[in-house]
Amino acid sequence: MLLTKEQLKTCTDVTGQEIVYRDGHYWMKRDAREYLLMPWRANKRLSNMRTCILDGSVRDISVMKSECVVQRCFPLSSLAAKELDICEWVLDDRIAEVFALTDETHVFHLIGRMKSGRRITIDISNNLHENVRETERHEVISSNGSLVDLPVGMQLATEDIYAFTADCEHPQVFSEVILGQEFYTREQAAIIRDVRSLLLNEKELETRESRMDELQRIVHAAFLSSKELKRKEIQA
Amino acid sequence: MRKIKIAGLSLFNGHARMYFSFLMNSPMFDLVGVSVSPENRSRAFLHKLPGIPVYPTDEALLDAHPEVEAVVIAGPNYQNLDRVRLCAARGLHIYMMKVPTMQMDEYAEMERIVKETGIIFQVELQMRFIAMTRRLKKLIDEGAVGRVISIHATNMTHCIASWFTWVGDGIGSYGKDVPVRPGEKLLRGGAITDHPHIFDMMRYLTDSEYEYVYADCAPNLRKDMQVEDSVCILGRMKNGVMVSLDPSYSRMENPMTPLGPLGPGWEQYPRRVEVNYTVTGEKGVILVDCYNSGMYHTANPNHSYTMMPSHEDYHFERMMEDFYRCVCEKKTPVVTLEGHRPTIEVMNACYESISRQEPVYL
Repeated sequence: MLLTKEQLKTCTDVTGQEIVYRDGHYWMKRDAREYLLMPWRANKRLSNMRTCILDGSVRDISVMKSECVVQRCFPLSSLAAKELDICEWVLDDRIAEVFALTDETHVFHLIGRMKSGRRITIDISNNLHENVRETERHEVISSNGSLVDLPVGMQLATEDIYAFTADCEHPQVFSEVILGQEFYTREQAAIIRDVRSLLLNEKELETRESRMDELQRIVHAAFLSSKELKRKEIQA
Repeated sequence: MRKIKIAGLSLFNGHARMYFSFLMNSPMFDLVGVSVSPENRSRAFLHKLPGIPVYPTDEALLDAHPEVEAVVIAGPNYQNLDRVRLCAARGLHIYMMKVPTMQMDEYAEMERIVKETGIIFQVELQMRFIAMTRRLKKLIDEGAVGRVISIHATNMTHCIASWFTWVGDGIGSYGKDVPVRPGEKLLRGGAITDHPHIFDMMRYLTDSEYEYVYADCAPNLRKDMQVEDSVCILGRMKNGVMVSLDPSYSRMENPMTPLGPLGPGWEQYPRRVEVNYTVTGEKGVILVDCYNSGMYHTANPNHSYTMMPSHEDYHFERMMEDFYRCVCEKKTPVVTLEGHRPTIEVMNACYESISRQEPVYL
């Protein structure tokens, strides 16, 4: 879900850094510069997935599938950039070639070949109402097992708590974490954690700008692929 | 109610046991016998057919039972044409498994035979009969999400090649050995060939035909299997709807022993089949899980979390009921050989695309 202004302000207050939302991404303003935030890298399910691959628990990977059904307010190109980063980061691999189909507004489908020869598929649909929770599913499929961040058989992400109170037609729902003494949404917590990790890692901070350029180059190639109906190689 | 005398030719197909379980107790059909070649006898599920005569060849079965009116052909794909010739020559109506043949010259030969003999020929495509796809089609047609922009569909399953070996064999499944890409060992005949439903569903849901497809083949999950098991496909229908399809054998399984448990124990991944749709329209999104109904357990033999499919929607029975009506009332089946042709053509176009590494137009 897109953070409200109040939720974003809380992130700013907690981290001591100005956090803004622009072009479908969250940015940290610091010393007159803006740094891309990648809160998905603070997502524990995705980082566990990456760990299972890096430590060899899951080997002989064939394909990684990414499926997102999200709200209309998120621009397609920023969603594509995010999912491309997730695939490269989780697999610790680089995209070598893409073929995509997109209407450039509501849907984006991509087949990618990684440098290692593995494949990725990305399927994004951004036509949900703003008040509906998005569903994302990432799956790594290998000869010796699968990794998936949505329970098997579930179409929608579930909430942690459903409170069916006496006077409510619909349940109150909660999916939160506690930082310090306060409750935060998962989205807020991921942003706060990403900012904190960046502040501790100057080197990572410096790579964020160039990382966005790289991702936009792949997104641009994908959009071009869709227009020309041709595979596009991604130069390293 | 008149009972149709029916025979089963070969029990060497993954769906066969569903049909024969039904035929054993059907008020519409009288199962008079089955043919199972001696070398495949141990792999068949004859213990599920008590009292049903078993013959070593199709000819022996049909000679012994001239009263037979219709057959279920449930053998390897590469044997289907010979069986069609045999049955059509005797005027028998045919209920055929989902892939009559992947070879288009054989397909044309089957079409010619069916046309000349006038027999009823029904292809089993259970997704046409399942409640979820019927409801989805209704929602789309009613404009629930406006004009459809895209459908992302999966038909991800386990692979039964360790039970029915022809499924993992280039000739057995595809009809000949053709490498997926020039110079590669991996052959056509795997995940794409075994999953015509997903291709058919796009035609059904969009009321349109394929304009082009682009397909790619990931490194095989099963290193010892001859045919491809992991594929991804993008394409567009002639009415502009984009499609993204995954018909992979990506739900890994334990090796199935020929007479092993036909239920819990196959699965490494908790679900053996997943058929999902994400339909994006101009006004919204529809999500569908066609095999949602299951009973979950951690029982024998592996004590791992497993879903036992527990469909409330008896679509296999409805398909046979439809076949019964078609034979009795000389009606046209929901899926005819001719109507199924564009689906087989687009599956072959996917193989061409993998080989040429570019989109292939239909």
